[in-house]
Amino acid sequence: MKRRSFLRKAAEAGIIISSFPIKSLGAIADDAVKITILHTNDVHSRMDPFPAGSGKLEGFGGVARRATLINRIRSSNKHVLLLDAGDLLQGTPYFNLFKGEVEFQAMNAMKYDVATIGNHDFDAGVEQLATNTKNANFQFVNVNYDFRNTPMNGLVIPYVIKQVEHIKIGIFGVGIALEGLVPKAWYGETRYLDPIYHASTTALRLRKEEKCDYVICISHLGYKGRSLDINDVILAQSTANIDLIIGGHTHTFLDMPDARRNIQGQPVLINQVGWAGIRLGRLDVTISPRQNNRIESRSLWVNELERLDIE
Amino acid sequence: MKTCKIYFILLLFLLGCRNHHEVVKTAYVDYKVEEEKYQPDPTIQKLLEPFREKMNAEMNEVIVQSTSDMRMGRPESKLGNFAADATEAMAEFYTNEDVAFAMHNYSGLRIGSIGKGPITIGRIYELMPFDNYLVTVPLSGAEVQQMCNFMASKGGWPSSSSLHYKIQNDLAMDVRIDGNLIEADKTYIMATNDYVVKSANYQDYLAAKEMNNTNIYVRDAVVAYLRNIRDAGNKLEPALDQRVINLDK
Repeated sequence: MKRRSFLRKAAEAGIIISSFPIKSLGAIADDAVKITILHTNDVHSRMDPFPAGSGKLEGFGGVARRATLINRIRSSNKHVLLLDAGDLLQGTPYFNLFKGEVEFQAMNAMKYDVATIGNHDFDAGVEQLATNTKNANFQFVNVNYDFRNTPMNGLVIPYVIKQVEHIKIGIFGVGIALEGLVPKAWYGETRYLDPIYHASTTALRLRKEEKCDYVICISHLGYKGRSLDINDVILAQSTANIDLIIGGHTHTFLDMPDARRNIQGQPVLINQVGWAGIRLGRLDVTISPRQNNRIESRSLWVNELERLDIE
Repeated sequence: MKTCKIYFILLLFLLGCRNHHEVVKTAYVDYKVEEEKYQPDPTIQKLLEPFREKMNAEMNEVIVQSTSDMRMGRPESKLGNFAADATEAMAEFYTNEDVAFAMHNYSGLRIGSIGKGPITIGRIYELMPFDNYLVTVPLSGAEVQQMCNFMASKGGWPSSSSLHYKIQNDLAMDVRIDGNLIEADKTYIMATNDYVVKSANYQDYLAAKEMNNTNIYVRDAVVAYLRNIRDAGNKLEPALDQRVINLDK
């Protein structure tokens, strides 16, 4: 009697379990959380849209218009993260005259969450970068610059963790080798460390110790190219525990995220949106409780990459 | 009933204790931030206004009129040609040296085009935003050949009209200065920006050279060059003159 009852109940329980969102494609659980990741890179002080005479770029970009777009997205999406992948400075007279003050103020006003440091962010010297950083309401993250003997000491942290409902998101940053790219006088005593090693150990820590469900690397290494010894594609393929790389430096317009496999065969997305704030990138990542019966689950989601039908 | 509850809780625990979530879907879109699509945010506009006013006061001076649109391109382009020609002329002016030619790294010129008509100081700042100095370095003819090979391997970089060469199999052929084939042992003065000389990305032999540094930013020199044209009552006449020909294409 008891045994029969148990079997019956177990069967019911089984039904309950299988009605968990065992994920036929497209069906998403009620307790899924959607995180909207907005991103820019290499804005290069382009505060105003490109002026007349800029060819096909004329009328594109501008922080005031980007702010309107960001506000609109924020008003209809609950969990929005706004990230920048470096080289926010240098390229228009705003920077030559005001040394970064305008760019930082605008990013504060747009409520950027996290950014990483690009080579041109040193262009007014590391001391000026520190002055600007002290006025930033967003957080600079980087794991492979040693700033200990510079004015930037203590102003940059390796990673931040954002708790979104029951989901933990880890965000860390990597930067490009400065020697030969930036005059020594500008980066001073900043020491460049191996980005692959430091990205690997940081991502592992975020995944295992900090128990992050999603790990984002904001990178200024560059997408790929023959002049780059290390780039985002190499980073993606030779590390583990990174889900998404938001890139910069090479001014690459990726019309859709580049899906790669990491060293363990798991998927990594790389995205980059050109330069100058001509575009704003958006990725809506939906995260659900893991399904016990789907060990291969993490390798499936690349197949579920789809273009958002809004403009 | 009780037993099955325990089993059920145990089962949930097994599910739960994995403590992991998974990505079930990623949707993406790139928004094009176009002028006509989005109204400027008033808060940001207000923030920018005092800076913009001050900037415009300094940067809106029209320093020359240009007779045509200029674009960047390879192997030569109107924008690259103008920048290199201006650099050669101003290097001669500031150093009193007999400058053989001038060149710039392609990515040192940061905007892709400048329209015809009035050119403001601001546009030259956008073209050359970096605080790079105008410098000269002496090169042997063999080193000029090496430099041209390097530029050829990149498909042609901005260089002045005194220098002519052809690109064949990614190498520079028929390298001429002022119409004459270069001589390996002769010394030629090259004008450029200090980044080209010092950057590890380029040519090792350059980094070892003693530069003659004018301590004037290339950008400021180019602004002076254009003002001179304006003040003489002339216009900038950008042109292509087949200074670099790519035979590989």
